[in-house]
Amino acid sequence: MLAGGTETTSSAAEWIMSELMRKPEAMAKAQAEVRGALDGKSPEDHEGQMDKLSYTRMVVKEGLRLHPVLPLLLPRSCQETCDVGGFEVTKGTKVIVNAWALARSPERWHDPEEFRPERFADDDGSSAAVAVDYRGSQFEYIPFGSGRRMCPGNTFGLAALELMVARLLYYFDWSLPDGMRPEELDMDTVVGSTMRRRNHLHLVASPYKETELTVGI
Amino acid sequence: MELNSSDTFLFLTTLISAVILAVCSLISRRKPSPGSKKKRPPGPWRLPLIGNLLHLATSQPHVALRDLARKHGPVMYLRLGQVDAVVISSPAAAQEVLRDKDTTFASRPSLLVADIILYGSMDMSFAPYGAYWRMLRKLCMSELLNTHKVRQLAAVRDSETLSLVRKVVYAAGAGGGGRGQRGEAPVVNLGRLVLSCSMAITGRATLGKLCGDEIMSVVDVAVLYGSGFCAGDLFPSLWFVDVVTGLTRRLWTARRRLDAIFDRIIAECEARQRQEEKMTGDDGFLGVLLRIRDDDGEPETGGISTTSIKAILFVSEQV
Repeated sequence: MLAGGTETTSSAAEWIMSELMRKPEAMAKAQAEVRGALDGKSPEDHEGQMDKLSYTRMVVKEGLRLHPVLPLLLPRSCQETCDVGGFEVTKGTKVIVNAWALARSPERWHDPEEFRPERFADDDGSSAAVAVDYRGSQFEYIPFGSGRRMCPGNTFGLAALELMVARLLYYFDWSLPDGMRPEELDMDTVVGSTMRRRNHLHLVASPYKETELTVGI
Repeated sequence: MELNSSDTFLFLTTLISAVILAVCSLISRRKPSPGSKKKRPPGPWRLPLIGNLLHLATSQPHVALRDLARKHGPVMYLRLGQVDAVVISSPAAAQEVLRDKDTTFASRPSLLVADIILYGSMDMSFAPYGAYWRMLRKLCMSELLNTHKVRQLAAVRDSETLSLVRKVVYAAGAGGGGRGQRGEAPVVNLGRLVLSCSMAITGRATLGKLCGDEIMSVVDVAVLYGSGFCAGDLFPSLWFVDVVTGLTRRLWTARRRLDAIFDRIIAECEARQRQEEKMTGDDGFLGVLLRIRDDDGEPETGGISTTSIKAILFVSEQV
């Protein structure tokens, strides 16, 4: 639990914030939505508002598409020789599913390299993207894997991730240090136990007007 | 890239072992099994001995594999050292492996790291597909990870994400002491702060209370060894390389460190349970696991051992 449920969630949050910094219009849209829903609410009611944050939740979904925490999932092992895609896979073969490549496949995604949360909206027109969920039923989007060995912690992790992102957007306006332009933010990736930023994300935070009242500082 | 002496040693040991292997493999060439009619999936050129390992000698293996798959197809064969591997890169092929033939592919390959750090792969992520794994998965779902339980943890998420907000306010304000020399706004290490937030949420949900630094050192072990290069995983007949290079010893040292931390956490939880005499619900998932261990006895009868509890605590989220 401790290893599986910590760096995974935080790494995803860091990537999502990085993408938003590179896409100010998505940041503004998500922030307007979060503030519209949470303004005037007491903090313990925040999580109850998450259902209303449809755009912000699409931001999270899009972040996990471009930056799946385990890009190659965890390997599986073939238990008996069988046929996959017309080829023979022998017993004992290590099977690697490139979930990262599936989520950026140009055949399944329009502008796959682009961070565009709107692709998951009902009125977007690209029907394939709208149908995807976190349950691993559409194989072009399997950030938590699929099948028997699918990540059982997806509900746990998503609940934490969505609230974390919503609150970071609600309580602060974010800017890049030293007058850096959005396109200059480094997105260097390193794949260890998870796919994470090579360098931790460093940002300048300006508290939103309501922070003092609600957080009690 | 800088090489320190242990890296050089590792390299030399691997090289020498590779030469030994080269000789062996020349003597006994693998023959294709006579009965097989189906073709092996296509794949890129391979070097003798190391196969396609060079193709993966990159910091971003997923990118390298995507590029190779564009040339060789969505079901691609690689030879990683002495291990046969197939890389799946299309939704249709992924569906075949993960849904249509899920049972055939429901086990994990064995890994040195999992065998040592995960108590002989007794955790949910790496346990072989079977009765023990099913029991673990059911347990974790019913006691921690289902929608209802997750909803019950709202208070933990609320207080820990608010604590994250406070830490950002502190770091961004004068209190952070990080104000730059020219008077510009201080820069917040957001990555570090979200990591500690996520550790606190998972830690409290799992252990029922804050363990701060202890959780940190557990996660450090996971990050450090999560992607370790193990000669024995790629060249099963070269298992001794991991012994010679000291990897096996380092893993056991990490395992003993984890053991000590978990023993302390478990002892604390047991002490709390004795004091309170009955379930109060605030000793978290660990408290539940300990009660199941004490009630149900042996693994064969559906119970769990202290060792499995440690493995579950360490890693249980898998894909």
